[in-house]
Amino acid sequence: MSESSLIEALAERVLLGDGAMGTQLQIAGLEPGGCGEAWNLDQPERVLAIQRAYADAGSDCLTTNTFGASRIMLERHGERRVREINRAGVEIARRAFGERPGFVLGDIGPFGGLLEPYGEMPAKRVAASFAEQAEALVDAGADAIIIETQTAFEELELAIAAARRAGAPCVIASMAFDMMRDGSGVRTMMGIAPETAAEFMLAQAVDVAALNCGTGVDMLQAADTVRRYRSICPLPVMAQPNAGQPVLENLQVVYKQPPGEMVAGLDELLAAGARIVGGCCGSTPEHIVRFRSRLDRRAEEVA
Amino acid sequence: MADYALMNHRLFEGDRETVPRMTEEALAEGCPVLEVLEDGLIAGMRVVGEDFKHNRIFVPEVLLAARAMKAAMVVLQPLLTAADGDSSAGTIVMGTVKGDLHDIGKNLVGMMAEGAGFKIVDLGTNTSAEEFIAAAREHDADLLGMSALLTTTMVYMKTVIDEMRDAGLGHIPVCIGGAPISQSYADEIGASGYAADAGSAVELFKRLTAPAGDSAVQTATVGGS
Repeated sequence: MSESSLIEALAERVLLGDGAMGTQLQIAGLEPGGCGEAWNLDQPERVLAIQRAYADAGSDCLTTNTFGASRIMLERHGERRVREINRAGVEIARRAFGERPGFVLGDIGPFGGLLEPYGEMPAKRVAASFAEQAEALVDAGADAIIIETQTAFEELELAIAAARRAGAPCVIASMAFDMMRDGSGVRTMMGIAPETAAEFMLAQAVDVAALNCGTGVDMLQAADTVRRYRSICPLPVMAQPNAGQPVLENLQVVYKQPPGEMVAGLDELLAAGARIVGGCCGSTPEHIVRFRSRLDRRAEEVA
Repeated sequence: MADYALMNHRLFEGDRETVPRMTEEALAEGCPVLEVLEDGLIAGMRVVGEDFKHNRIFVPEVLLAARAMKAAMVVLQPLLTAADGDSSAGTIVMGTVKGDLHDIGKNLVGMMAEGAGFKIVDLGTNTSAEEFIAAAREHDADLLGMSALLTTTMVYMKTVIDEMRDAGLGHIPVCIGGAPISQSYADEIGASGYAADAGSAVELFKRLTAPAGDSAVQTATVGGS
């Protein structure tokens, strides 16, 4: 595989990712617990509308609506159209860019269980599930595979191997860190600290080391985590934090950090060395608009 | 004489071969079933829960220990049932609420609670209020546990609590947990309790199921933290 254009672009400038998909799907009418990925086939125009809003907001990278589109995850919904859903996910994201240039990141999320010996899922099944999904995404023309919201090396390693074997032009590995309640900083659910994650990603030779989501992690904590990554590994880093800390409202916990407040943390995230920035839970096209204008203003300041 | 300290240690390490074997050996030596359960297994899991709560160990270590405990319980369970129908610390019906398919946290709490001697009736994921109520009745639950990972599904917990009350099961304590859950949410929806991690959840279960005036449990809880 030749050097990917995404990796080349990253070396030149900071790229803007997109915002949340899941919460946007729910606003568009997806029932809680429903299979949002099936919408790639059943309600493609709604998925397209969300991604077009991000493209219009100025995203350079759109993440496909395939987070839960591995066979293991889809089967929990009784859904078997694995390849079709993943292919459609890439096509919709590509279509959302229209005539604009942009990168489609083929999304692979966690398989949703625990691998042996911690749980009962055999690694072979997970590997096959990731391989099938990665192939479908790469064959449909994804510019990269992004493996998101990972908490354990065992699972991440299987997904990285699947992405590589599928011929992904670029592999992005993203872990989810939670703030520890005792104030000892962030770790993944499975206990991994950012430095250990960075060492692993370096050893795995992924193209981009990333972080996304996470309980209690906002822009500033994400910036701190980026710094901790960068203290260990020279890889480009991508960060997609949630829209602030969750708050209780009408008996529901919501992420509702206003775009203006979230973008205030952007300089810090960039100063920490993030090369792709975007948002996770609760972020909207409006957040991405603000990110875009801040990024553009910075570019002018430098020029 | 069974070496319970060693057994606790092997349990802490998650040694799924040694712990059931030591359980069998202890029984063969004539140790009482309840002593093996309490001193050999539950005491070990208590340390696991404490260390987890204080971030000295993390989910993988807890899972391995819980699975070792489970393997030993396969040996003990038939004897416990035969010896004393009331040997359990209580029956907990638990599940992930309707619309939510996440079960790692719920399973972890279930395993830790089993490790503390509770009988667990696990309803799995995507559990409706009707299913919770039917199971609570059928198994004469001492406590009901609900889990949710999504901000969109956690609201269903209130539905379950309301319907439990309407069904005349309002006396059963309800505990809730999951990434988006907080004590203030538990207070708002009228849940009996919330715990931030599996170790604390077990302490909460013990507190809520302890007969009135049972200070031994309270002391053990306080002493362990």
